[in-house]
Amino acid sequence: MKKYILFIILVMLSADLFSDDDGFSLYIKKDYQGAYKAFNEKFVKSDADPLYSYNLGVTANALGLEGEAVYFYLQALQKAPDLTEAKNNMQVITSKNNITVPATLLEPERSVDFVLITFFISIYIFSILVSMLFFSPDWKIKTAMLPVFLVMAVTAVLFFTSHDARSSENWGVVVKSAELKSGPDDSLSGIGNIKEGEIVNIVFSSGSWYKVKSFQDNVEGWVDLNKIRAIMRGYK
Amino acid sequence: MVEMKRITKIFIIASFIFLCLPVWSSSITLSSDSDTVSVDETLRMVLTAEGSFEEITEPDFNGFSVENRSESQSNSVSIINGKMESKKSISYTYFLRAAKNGVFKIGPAKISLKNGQFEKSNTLTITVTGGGSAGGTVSGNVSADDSQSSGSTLSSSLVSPLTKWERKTPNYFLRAVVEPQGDVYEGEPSTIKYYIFVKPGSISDLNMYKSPSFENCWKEEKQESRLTFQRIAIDGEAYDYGLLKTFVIIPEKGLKSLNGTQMIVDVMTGSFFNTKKMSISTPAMRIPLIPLPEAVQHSEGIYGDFQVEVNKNSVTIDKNNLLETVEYTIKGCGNFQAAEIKPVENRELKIFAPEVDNRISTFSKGYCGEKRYKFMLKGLQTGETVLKAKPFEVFSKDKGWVSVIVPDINVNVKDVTVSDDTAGEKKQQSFELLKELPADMKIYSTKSIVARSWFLTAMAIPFLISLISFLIWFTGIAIRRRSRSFNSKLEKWEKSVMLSNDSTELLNVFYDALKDLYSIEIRGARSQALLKKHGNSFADITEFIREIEYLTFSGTNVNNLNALKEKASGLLRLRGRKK
Repeated sequence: MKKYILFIILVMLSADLFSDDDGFSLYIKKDYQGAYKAFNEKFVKSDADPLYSYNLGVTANALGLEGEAVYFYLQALQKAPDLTEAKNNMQVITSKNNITVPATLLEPERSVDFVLITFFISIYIFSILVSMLFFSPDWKIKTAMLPVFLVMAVTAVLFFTSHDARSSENWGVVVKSAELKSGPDDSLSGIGNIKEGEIVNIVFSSGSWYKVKSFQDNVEGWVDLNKIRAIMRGYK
Repeated sequence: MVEMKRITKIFIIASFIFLCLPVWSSSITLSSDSDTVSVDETLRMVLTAEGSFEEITEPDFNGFSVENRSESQSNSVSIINGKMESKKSISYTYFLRAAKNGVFKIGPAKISLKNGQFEKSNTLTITVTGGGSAGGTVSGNVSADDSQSSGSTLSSSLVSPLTKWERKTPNYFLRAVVEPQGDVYEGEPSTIKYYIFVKPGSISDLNMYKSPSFENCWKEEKQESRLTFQRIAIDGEAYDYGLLKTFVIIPEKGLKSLNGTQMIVDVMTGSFFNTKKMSISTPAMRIPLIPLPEAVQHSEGIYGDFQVEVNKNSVTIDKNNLLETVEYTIKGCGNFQAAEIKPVENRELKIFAPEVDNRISTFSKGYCGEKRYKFMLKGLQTGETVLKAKPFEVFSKDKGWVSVIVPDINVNVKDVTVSDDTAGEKKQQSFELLKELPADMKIYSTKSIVARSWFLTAMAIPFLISLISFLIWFTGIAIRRRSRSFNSKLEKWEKSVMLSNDSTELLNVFYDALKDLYSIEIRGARSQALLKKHGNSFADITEFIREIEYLTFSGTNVNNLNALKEKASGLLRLRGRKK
């Protein structure tokens, strides 16, 4: 009985260990739909692991979903900017469809910079000065605190302003060609088109609509959010 | 007599009140700047209601679509010859676009009066003629004279006489000036500058209400940071004009006409207390685009006058330099959006996605500048090869069709990376799954820096340092304050002990002091229980109490009361003077 239970546990463990191969085996069997589903589950569970992003890109391309493929390659590059395979495959699709990808999306954003380092140094010095002031209230410490506080305040404002500006810049990939509308309603007139795989800047969202600005030709309009996939930016 | 005076007084007051009663008179009028328009042309209509009224019912605009509606309101009270007049004035300005041919009646509009009655406005009859006439949508190549005589609505230059459209509001109007002024070809960049013209001192303020949009075009927009006016004379009248916005427009391939919607600006006129808002606009724009000549032979051709340069004619890839960068620069004027460098497939090289850098501006010659393509190269096979890029054809008004040759770059691959020797070429062109990521690959997070644990910890540490310092400082202060309070109480009890007149009083004071200072209740307690509770350190106190009780109850006079006082005081002090 014990041996039987042990055998079942081993089988379950091995199934779990090799379940990564599900997508691969399905892909080899040319069941691209199944492979896409399997990789997508892994992608969601693993918090956008670049390996699954890349494999999803390959599978989406096999399914003829070029917009999805561009999205997943870009997503892979957000976490693994040195993954040249993703860059190359994406370039093949974008060149074929005459799509321009902004250089800023090819690698994660830099988040630690001179301003942040200065902010941290100043906040630590300030806290030490505050602690010293409790035990020996001295005018020299008070005098030293003022410039440190100013540096701390200025760098804090600079850092959080730039962080806010960066986080409000959202990019998306068009996964289904669509007509841009003049407002968030299907009945409104069209003002242009966006093609599959095109990169857009998401300006604003309202209900199930995105207001987007095409990177290709700067045309601004509204589109159903099912036609766009927003890119999760990586941070260095 | 008194009664007469009283009646006269009442009469005078009643007359004054009667004369000062507001005189309510109301009116509503509907007016338009033209009674004939063409299909797709816009027309300005103003609905003005004056007097005392409750509500306005706007008219139906059958056959027209409302492009814009603005509202202005003013209230005034005046007393003329003893009559007080209260006047409310509301006016709505509509920009209506004619949708179809025909004769349309607009109105009447209505206002409901306070007494429950209605006042109706006049009715306007508008005739809409033709379909897509030149009225509202004229190409930019119309000359100033043409625009004057034919009643066109788009001006060709800053100093052109007022068009029919502009004459509707001759004191202030918007003008769009399109460059180039001649024929515009498919894909040719056009610069459209929007100016406002005002007669000196005729407006007090202005607000941009609606910026124009251009269908199926690449657009670059430049908003002037500050509106600067310059003076100019048109038709012998002085105008101040200022640039509001500049657009560079490149129509998409295959587009037959460049269509732009109206720009609408609200202008404020009148004094500070009686400001009126008016909406002015440019006409909708339609500039026919001429197809590039011999389009069939030059199907991939683009508009422009370009040259291509490379930063180096030959590169070497070796073990010290496995990646090499080459830069192509497209220089000239024209459709930079369509001008591209496309390297020809090369099985011996891996060509990475380019980094594109645009340095383009609007000049008198047109949309000119540089577009740089930086390609990174990696060798896949050793040997000498040539990096070629596809030539492209450009058309310009001066030169006609010209083929732009992209210079070749000689590449000498001396070393290749091991992995690329076997799989490089395959990887470049095929889509293969990856089992795992390379071991040394750096993986970044999608978490924003402010949400990362190290950031939050690094932010919390200085706060903790300050907080701990504060707590230590505060605890020290609290302890010092408490000991000061204890010592002052001790001194008070010592004084009371020393002032005791007999042993009974001394004992009572001693009991009270112990209770107050140390919360020790002696009265009614058994000595054994006290010893058990407070330990052996209490033995000296119980001994002292016994001594003093014995002396008190034995009736013996206390000879050395002072010695007992000293002892009591000493016992109190020994137990807990704080520093």
